Amino acid sequence: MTRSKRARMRDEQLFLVIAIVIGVYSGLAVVGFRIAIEWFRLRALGSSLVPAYPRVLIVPAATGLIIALLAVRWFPAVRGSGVNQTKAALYIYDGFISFRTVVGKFLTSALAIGSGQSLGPEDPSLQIGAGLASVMGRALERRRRDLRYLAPVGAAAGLAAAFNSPITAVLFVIEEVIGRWSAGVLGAVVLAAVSSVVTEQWFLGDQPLFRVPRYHLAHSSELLAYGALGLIGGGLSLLFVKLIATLRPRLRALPVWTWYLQPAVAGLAIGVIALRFPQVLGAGYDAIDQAMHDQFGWKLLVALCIVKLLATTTSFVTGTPGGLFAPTLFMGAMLGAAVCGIERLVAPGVTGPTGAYALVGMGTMFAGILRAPMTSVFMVVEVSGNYSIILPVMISNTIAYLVSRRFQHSGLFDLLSRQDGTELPSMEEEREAEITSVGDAMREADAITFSGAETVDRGVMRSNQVESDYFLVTLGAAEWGAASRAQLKFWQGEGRGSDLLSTVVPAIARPYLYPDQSVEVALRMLREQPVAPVVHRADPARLVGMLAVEDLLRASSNPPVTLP
Amino acid sequence: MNRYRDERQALAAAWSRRGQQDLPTRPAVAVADFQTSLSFEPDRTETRFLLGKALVAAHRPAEAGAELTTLLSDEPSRGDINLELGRIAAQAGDVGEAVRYYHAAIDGVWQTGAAEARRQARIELARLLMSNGQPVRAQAELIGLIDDLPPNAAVITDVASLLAKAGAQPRAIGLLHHAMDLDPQNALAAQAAATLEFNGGDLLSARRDFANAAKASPLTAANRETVDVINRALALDPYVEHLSVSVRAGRALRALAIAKARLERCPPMPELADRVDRAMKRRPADLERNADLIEETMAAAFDVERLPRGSCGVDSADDRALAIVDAQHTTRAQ
Repeated sequence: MTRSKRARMRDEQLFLVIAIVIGVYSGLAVVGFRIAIEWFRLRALGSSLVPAYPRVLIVPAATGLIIALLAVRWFPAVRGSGVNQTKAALYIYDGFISFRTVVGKFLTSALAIGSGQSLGPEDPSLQIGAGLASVMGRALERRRRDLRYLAPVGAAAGLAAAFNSPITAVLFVIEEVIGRWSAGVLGAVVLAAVSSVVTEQWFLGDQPLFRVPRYHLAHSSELLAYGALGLIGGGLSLLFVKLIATLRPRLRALPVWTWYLQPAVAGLAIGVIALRFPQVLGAGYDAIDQAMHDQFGWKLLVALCIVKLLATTTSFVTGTPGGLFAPTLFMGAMLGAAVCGIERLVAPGVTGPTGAYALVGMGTMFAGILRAPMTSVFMVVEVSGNYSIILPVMISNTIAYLVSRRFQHSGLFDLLSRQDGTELPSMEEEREAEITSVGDAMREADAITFSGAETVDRGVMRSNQVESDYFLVTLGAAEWGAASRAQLKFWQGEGRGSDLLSTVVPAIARPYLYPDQSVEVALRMLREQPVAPVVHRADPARLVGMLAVEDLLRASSNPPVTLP
Repeated sequence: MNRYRDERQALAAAWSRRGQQDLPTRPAVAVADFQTSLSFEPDRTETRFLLGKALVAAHRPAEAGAELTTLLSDEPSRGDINLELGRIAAQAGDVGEAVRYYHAAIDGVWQTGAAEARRQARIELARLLMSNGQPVRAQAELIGLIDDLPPNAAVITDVASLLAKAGAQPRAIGLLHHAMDLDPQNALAAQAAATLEFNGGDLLSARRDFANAAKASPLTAANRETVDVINRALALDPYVEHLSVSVRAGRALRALAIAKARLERCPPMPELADRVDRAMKRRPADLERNADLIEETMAAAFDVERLPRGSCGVDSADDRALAIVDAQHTTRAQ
C-alpha cells in the first residue's frame, strides 16, 4: 500500500471517528434541548396537559414577543424549520453554520415549543446537530469537502436523537439533504445517528415517543380504507402546503416592525384554540399516543386534525422557530384514527386497530407534506417495529405523495427555499431526473465497425458511406482499435492505402464500457481516448456499440423525462 | 439530569395520586389526571391501568378497552387487566370475549390477594353467564370455586345463593349448611337454606333451618308465614311414614274440611261439591277400615285445592299447606 493510500485511509477512518463524536455531542445537545423545552413548559404553562386560563392565552403570546425579538435582532438564521438551513450549509456555505445560530436555534425553539407554539423539536434538532458538526469540523481544521459533509452527518445525529429513530433520520438526511447514496458519507451518517441515539437513550431512557399497539390487517378490504386515507391525507397535505406557500411570503412582505409581533399574534391564536383543544399545544406527542390508543372519538379526531393544521400554519408562517415533523405526525395520527373511527361506523367488524391507522396516517402526511416517500415508509416500520404494516403504508403514502405532487409541483422545502431567494437543489427533482446511460447515448456498432483484415483504402471508402467521424476496427477476439475519418485519409495520403487496418490502427485500452453504465463513468474513460467500445456484460467479446463525447452531449441535450 | 428525572417522577406521582382521589367521584377528571401523569412517566404500568379503570368509570369503554389492550400486550398474564377487559367486553355484550378475558383473569397473575381476586372474578363470570341465559356454564364455574372457598360464612353464603340461582340447589344447600357450621349465628345462611329446602319440598329440614335462623335473629314476616305453612302441612299430611291408620284418617278428613271451606268460596261447581259432600259423610272409622277411602278423600281435597289460585277468594294458610301436601304426594307418586 502506498503512503498516499495509507494516509487517505487514515483520513477516512478519522472522518468516521469524528462522526461518532458528533453523534455523541448532538445527542447531548438534543437531550439538553428536550429538557429545556420541558423546563420552560412546566414553568410557563404548568404540569397539566390542560393549562389553566388565562395562562394559556398569555404565555404563548408573551413568549412570542421574546422569540421575535431574539430572532429578528440577534439570531436571524433561526427562523423556520432548519432543514433548508442545513441544505444551504451543504450546498452554498461549504458546511458553515455559525455557533451563534446553534445557540439561537436552541434558545428560540425551546421557548417557542415550550410556550405551546404548534411546532416540533425534530427539525431544530437537525439544525442544532448540523451546526455542532460544523463548529467541530472547523475546530479540527478539516478540509472544505469534509466540512460540507459534516453538516448532514450532524443533521442525521440531531434528528435521530430527537426522533429516537436512527433509520428514519439516516433516510431523511440521505433523501432530503444529501440527495444520494454516497458510501463515504453514508457510513458517517449512520455512525453519527446511532451514537446520538445511544447517547440520548443513556440519559432519557429508551422509551419510544409513543407506544405502538400491535398491528394486524382485520380484512383485506381494509386496504380500500387505507387508500382513502391516502387520498384524504394527500388533499390535506396539499392544503397545508398551499396555505404556507400563500401566507408566508405575504407576512414576510409586511413591514419589519410587524415581524416583532407576528409570533405573538400566532401565540395568542394558538392560546385561543387551546382553550377548547389543548392538545394542539407544542409538539403534541401525548395526544398522538392517545389517538393511537383510541382515546378520542372520530369527530374530535377530525377537529384536532383541522385545528392542528391551522395552528401549525399560524406558527410557521409567522417565522416562529420550530419544526414541522411533529405537527405533520400529529395531523396524520388524528386523520388516520378518524378514518378508522368512520370505517368502524360504516363497516364494523372489518376494521383493524386504531393505532395502525394512526401510524399509517402519520406516514401518509409525512409523504404528502415533506415529500420524502422512502423515509415516510420506513419511519412507520421503524416506529411500529412491525414489518407487516408496510403494505397499507405503501398504498396510503404513495397515493398521498402522488396527490400532493399532482397539484403542487414543488415540495415544501423547495418552496420555502425559493421563497427565501435561494435555489437549493431539489432532491425530489433530482430523484426524478432521467438517468442517461451509455446504452442511451451510444452509436450502433454494425455500420461503423471495420475488420482489421480490411485495407486502409477500403476503410476510407466505407467511412464515406456513413455519417460517423469515428470507426472501430476489430483487432482480435474482444479487442478493438479506433480511428477517425481524418486519420484514415492521412494514412491513405501517406501511401499506406494497401496496409491492413490491423497494422495501422492502435488498440483501445481496457476496460471497455457497458450499456448500463452511467455517463459519469463514460466521461472519465473518454478523457483518455476519443471513443470507447461498448460491449455486452454477459459476453465481453460481443461489441454492441461505440461511444464518443459528442454522443454524450447529444444525449444530454434531450430534455429529461419526468414523472407526471 | 437527576433533578430533571426526579422532577418528572414527582410530577407523575403527584398527578397519579390526584387521579386516584378523583377516580371514585369524578372519573372524567381522573382520566385527565392519569393522562398528565403518563406524560411524565409513559412507561408506568400502574398508571396506565388506573387510566383504563378511570375510562371505564367515565363511560368510555372503547377508549378503556384500547388502553388496556395495549397494556395487556406488554403483560398478557396480568389478572387485573384481563378482568377489566372482561368487564368491558361484558358491558359491550360480547359474552364470548368477556368469558375469554375472565378465564385469563382467573388463571392470571395477581400481585396481591390472588385467591380473593380469582374468586371474585369467577363469581363475576358466573353472574355474567347467568344473566346471559347460560346457567349450566355458570354452575360449572361456581362448582370449580367450591374447593377454594375460604372458611368465611358470608362468602360461602354468597356463592351458595348463586349456585341456587344457577339451578344447583342440593350443592347450594350443602354449602349453606357448611356456612352455618362455620357460623351458627349466620341467620342469612340458615334462612337461605331453609327457603331452598322449603322450595325443594324438604319441609322438615326447612323447619329446622328456619328454627336455627330464628335463634340468630328474628324471622321476617314472610318467613314466619312460611314456617306456619310448613307446620300446617306437616300436621296435615296423611302420607307421612309411621303414622297410625286412625291418625291418617283424621288428617284426611281435616284436609277435606279445609277443601270444603275453600270450595264454598269458589264459584258453583256442583259435580265437585257433590264429590266433597259424599266424602264428608264418611266417618273416621270408615276410613280406618278401608285405606282406599283415605285416598279418595284426599283426591277430592286435592282437586279442590288445584282450582286456580285467586278464583276462590283469599286462600288460607291451610289451603297453602294442603297444596304443598298435594305437591309432595304427586312427587312421591312419580
